Amino acid sequence: MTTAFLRKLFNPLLSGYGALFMLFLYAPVILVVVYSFNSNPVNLMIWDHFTFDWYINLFGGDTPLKDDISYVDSTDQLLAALGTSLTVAALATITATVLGTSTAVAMARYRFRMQGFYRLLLFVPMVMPDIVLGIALLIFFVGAGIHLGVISIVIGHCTFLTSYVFIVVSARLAGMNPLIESASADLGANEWQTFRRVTLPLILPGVIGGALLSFIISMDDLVITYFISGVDSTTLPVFIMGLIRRGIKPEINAIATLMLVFSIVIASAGIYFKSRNAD
Amino acid sequence: MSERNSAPDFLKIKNAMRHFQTPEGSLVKALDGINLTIAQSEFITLLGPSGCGKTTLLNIIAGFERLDSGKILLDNSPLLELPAHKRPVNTVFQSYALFPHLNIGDNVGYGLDIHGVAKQERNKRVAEALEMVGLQGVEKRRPTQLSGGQQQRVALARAIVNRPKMLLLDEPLSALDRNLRMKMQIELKNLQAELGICFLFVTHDQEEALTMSDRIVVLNGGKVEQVGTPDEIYHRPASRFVSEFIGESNIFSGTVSRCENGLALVNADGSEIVCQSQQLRVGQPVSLLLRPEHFQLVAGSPASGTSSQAMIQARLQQSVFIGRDHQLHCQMANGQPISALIRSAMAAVQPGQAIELHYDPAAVHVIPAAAQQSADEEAA
Ligand SMILES: Nc1ncnc2c1ncn2[C@@H]1O[C@H](COP(=O)(O)OP(=O)(O)OP(=O)(O)O)[C@@H](O)[C@H]1O
Ligand SMILES: [Mg+2]
Repeated sequence: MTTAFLRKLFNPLLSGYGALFMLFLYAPVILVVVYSFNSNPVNLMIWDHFTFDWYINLFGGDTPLKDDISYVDSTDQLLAALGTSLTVAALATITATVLGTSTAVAMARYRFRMQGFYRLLLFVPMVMPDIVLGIALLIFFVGAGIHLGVISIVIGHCTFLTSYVFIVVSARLAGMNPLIESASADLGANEWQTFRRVTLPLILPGVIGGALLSFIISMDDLVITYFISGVDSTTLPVFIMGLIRRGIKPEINAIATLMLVFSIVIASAGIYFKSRNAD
Repeated sequence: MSERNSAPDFLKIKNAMRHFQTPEGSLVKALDGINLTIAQSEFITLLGPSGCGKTTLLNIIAGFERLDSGKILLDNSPLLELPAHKRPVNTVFQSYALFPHLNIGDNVGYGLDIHGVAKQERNKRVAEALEMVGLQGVEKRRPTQLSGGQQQRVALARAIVNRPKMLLLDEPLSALDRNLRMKMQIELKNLQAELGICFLFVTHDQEEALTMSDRIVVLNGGKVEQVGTPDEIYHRPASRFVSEFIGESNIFSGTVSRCENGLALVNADGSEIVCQSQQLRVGQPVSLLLRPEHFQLVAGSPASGTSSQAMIQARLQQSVFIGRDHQLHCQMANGQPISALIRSAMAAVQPGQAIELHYDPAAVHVIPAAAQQSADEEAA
């Protein structure tokens, strides 16, 4: 009886706590989305009335807004930064996915000297402070005479994205019965055929998940990219950072909301692929 | 048929050694000098307790494991040089190891697809193989949509569809329930006769081995204890290990006390056992085997007659009805337990009662004491 009573008492408290926690997590994000539709051009935290003007302005449309209250004097710059980001993310994702997947397969299927040490090395880029990695990469690129541009950013991103792919794919490989690969060899398939027809299809959800994760992280990275991007190769986060230096203006809410939508789409795709292959 | 049988040494294993270094630092002799010859269309079974090296030997033939030293010839050509995917053998795995992402048709057709068999031919052979194992019309299903027994059949079909020269089966029936297992035993045996290829079958179930095999290889600790037909293995075990591992056995150890007329009298810890043997000499230590079904029961007072010598006096401890027969658990005067299988109609005896267990001296098997004998010969 007492437990029933306690449960009655605590259940609403617990639900209330849960709701508060979620609010704590998401309130700032929700505010950003809401205020991206606020027409007040001076104080972005005081609600005036609903408007799409910030979005229209972002894409270079005609709005009643005066020029000096928006950052984006040329939409071309913004789109160029977005283009650079997408190019970098695509190239880095492809490279890191191939490297990370093959490393995971090698670690799972072969035994070699210093394997534990190599495994450890693969975790290091994820825990290394971004600033350290950024400075190290900058010194390396300058020293090696590599031009700071899209290529240097792609190389830089691959150094840590490979680790993420490696971990996601390794988890998938660990759940796989290795006898299935023996069965494939037994039926006449050489190693490449076995990888193509058996291993890859079975780890594909992990590979896709790792790729999507890489894509999001690459699109999102600021600190490391900041060090290794050249003048002519600004990515979206670096570009936005530059804008904010000029003061916070309401337009930033619209940019943030668009990036949020983009991330949610990618994450949903990841969850969709994961559930579709989980039979 | 006769041509197929014409290769008695189809697979030759010569002095196969495989040792494993365990993480604790000790050495496991998984295979310790295996010599074996297998005929081309034989149903041969590897039988032995857990850890005796059965799977290791199978994996070496399939190519998933290497040999430390030794040679294996398949059809007179060296097998070990070939990688697993080039060997003309196929395996049925204990856990089936079906491809979870492929449907049944593609699972069975996997080997044919790899070898680039034309679509029409491929589909025909897949259907044939599934029919052979009694599973039609499931091509479109996924492995998880089949029962354990059906998955087992798919694994079988997937192996035989490639027409291997030899089929390796690692405890393929151990996951099935008793009824299904007995049904599959008969089907496997029929399938082997139909295909006419060699089946190398692994089990640790001695009953299964006795039912199915043309010959049985008894392994123990990485060594071959005995190779023989089920009848030889059961009635003339080559070692004490084999006689205890296969079937129920009463073993009497003692020394030969008298020899005459081709009969030897063995004194085993106070009781005397008679056996038919020309080889035994007085004073020689021997072990004798009597199976429970070799006894006949005579209750009560000492029996009269010529065969009175060929009997064991014991006291009944427990009598268990097991269908057609009664299993009698008895104890001899010296405390040694004896197990006897008696027709139920004859078994009207009470626990505690003194009984006589009669046997035919010809049924007593002398277990060769290989090590002991050679030691004796050296001394002589
Ligand atoms: N990769 C390995 N590393 C170390 N030891 C091994 C390895 N594989 C097998 N062994 C050892 O070799 C011995 C034989 O193993 P094997 O798997 O051949 O036994 P088995 O006869 O198939 O037994 P079971 O009936 O239980 O399947 C065992 O003692 C086992 O512990
Ligand atoms: Mg085994």
